[in-house]
Amino acid sequence: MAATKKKRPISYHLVNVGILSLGLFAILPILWTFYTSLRPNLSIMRYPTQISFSDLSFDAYFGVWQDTNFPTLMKNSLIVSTMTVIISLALGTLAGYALSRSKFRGRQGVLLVYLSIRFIPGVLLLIPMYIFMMNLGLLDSFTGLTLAYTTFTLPATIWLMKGFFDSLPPDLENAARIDGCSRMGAMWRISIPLVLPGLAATGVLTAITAWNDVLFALLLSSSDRTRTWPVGLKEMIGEFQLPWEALTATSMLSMLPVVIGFSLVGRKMVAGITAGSLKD
Amino acid sequence: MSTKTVAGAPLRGFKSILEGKYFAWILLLPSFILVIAFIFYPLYRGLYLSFTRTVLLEGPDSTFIGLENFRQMFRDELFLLATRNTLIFMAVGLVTQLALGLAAAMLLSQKRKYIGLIRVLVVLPWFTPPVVTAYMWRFILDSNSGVLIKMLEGVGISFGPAGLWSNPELAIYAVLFVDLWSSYPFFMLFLLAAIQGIPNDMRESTSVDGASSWQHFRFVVLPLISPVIVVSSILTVIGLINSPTLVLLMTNGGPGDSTTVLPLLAFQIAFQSYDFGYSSAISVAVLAAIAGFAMVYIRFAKFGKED
Repeated sequence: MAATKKKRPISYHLVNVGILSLGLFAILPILWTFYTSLRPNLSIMRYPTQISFSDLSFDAYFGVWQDTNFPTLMKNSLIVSTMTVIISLALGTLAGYALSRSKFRGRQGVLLVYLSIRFIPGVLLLIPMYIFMMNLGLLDSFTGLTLAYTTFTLPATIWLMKGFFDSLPPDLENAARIDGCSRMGAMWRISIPLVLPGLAATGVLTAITAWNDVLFALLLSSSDRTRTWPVGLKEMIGEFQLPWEALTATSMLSMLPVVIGFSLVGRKMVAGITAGSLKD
Repeated sequence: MSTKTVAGAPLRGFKSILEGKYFAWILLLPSFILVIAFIFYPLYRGLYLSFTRTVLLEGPDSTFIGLENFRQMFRDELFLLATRNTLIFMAVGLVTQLALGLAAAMLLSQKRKYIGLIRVLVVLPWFTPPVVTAYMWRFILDSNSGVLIKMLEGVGISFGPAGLWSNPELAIYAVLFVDLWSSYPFFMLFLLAAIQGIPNDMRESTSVDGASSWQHFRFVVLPLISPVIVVSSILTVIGLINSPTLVLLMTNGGPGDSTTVLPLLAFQIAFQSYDFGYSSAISVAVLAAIAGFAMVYIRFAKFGKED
């Protein structure tokens, strides 16, 4: 034992290699895309590929920002994502709190229903939702898109928030209740401030889901007024045969908010996802 | 003065309801309304549509035709091909994600100084927008200028003059590879959490008894995490057949129909030929398959046994 600890066995180094390979597998494609977005188009297509760092520039980014409607597309996505986060968090926090703190009849049934929503294929909901939105006059509107996103972010929000509330000790709230605080007051003044990190993580996860979606956006946002960036990018590629540098630059631009949100609360998000799903 | 009592009475009534036994239901109500309106009502409509002839181009009306759509399904060669592709997609996708996810979870459960950073990096693909994932990999695997294709050619692996994406035999595996890149972190996270739940002194006691690392993994770790493997396998299968996003963006079913999977077929029938009835029937078939998995899932997850 002592000998193996001083001189590390081969397996120790093999594990290091394995871990680093996993990291590279995840990050290299993204780094390569970023590198490509900085290169002039001519050298992208040249073969054999020459790696050079002399002629890199952010020209493609300025080009995309000034000559295409991508800023508008991103603004539309931002509006829809923000609205989705607000509604999901408001409703999901209330429901998650109720499911965590109250032991009422029918609780198991409610939990089961929210869990089973995960199994409904998105495609089956697409058509009736399209018809429903058409009848409500919500096609091609931010409201319609937000409602569609909220339906599939809400169950996840409820599960995550329930998990975060579960991990709080109930004693604090009980103390507040004895001191004359109402139930709503105890929730608002004691529990919600304590789950703020969890709330932030859930919010970012919801925002990323709405920001990334293609399928619902493809159907429900048809005009320039509401079109979100994934649909816009898909159409730009189809119509204009977007050059690689512009394509990669737009990809990186659209990924920026995701990376920022992820680096802020990524760990908490990952912890919430795994904890919630293992417990039940 | 009298207005104050009038205004105060219902408020007091409301407050006492809020404090009483309906507290939980009141907090749940807003989410119920939304879920019923935008999930259960559309779900019911979708099920109903699958028994009707509804073609939007012929007008908004539905005619009830019973099981005709389902009968048509089994005569439809494209449906049968899509079923076959879906099964390949599910089987290969599940096995590769399980293998890589398990290996990654074992590696990332080791103690290293830099492990926290790698764990976050490894999960990044899962959060990458599918549009970015799709076009990024189309670019890296592009037959003319793709850097990975060129590297593989450098070591003697070639996909022929037509390239990866025009080869009906290979295109589906190319999509599966990209799906693996973006989806396996989800699998890994679950397994990692399970492995970290195993106390460390377990390994110490097995090594005292002379067990090799492999024996420890095979007879201690694997049995302990097998319920989690089952649960995450089912969730992965659902992820694989629930959404046509990556296939839609990368190949749109081509070349030919070699990458047409069931959810993509349903999507195309709905929004290219506007046959809502038939498309719903295909979605119902997908739902039926998932419902089978769901039952297993709930059984193994021992749902609701926590308290």
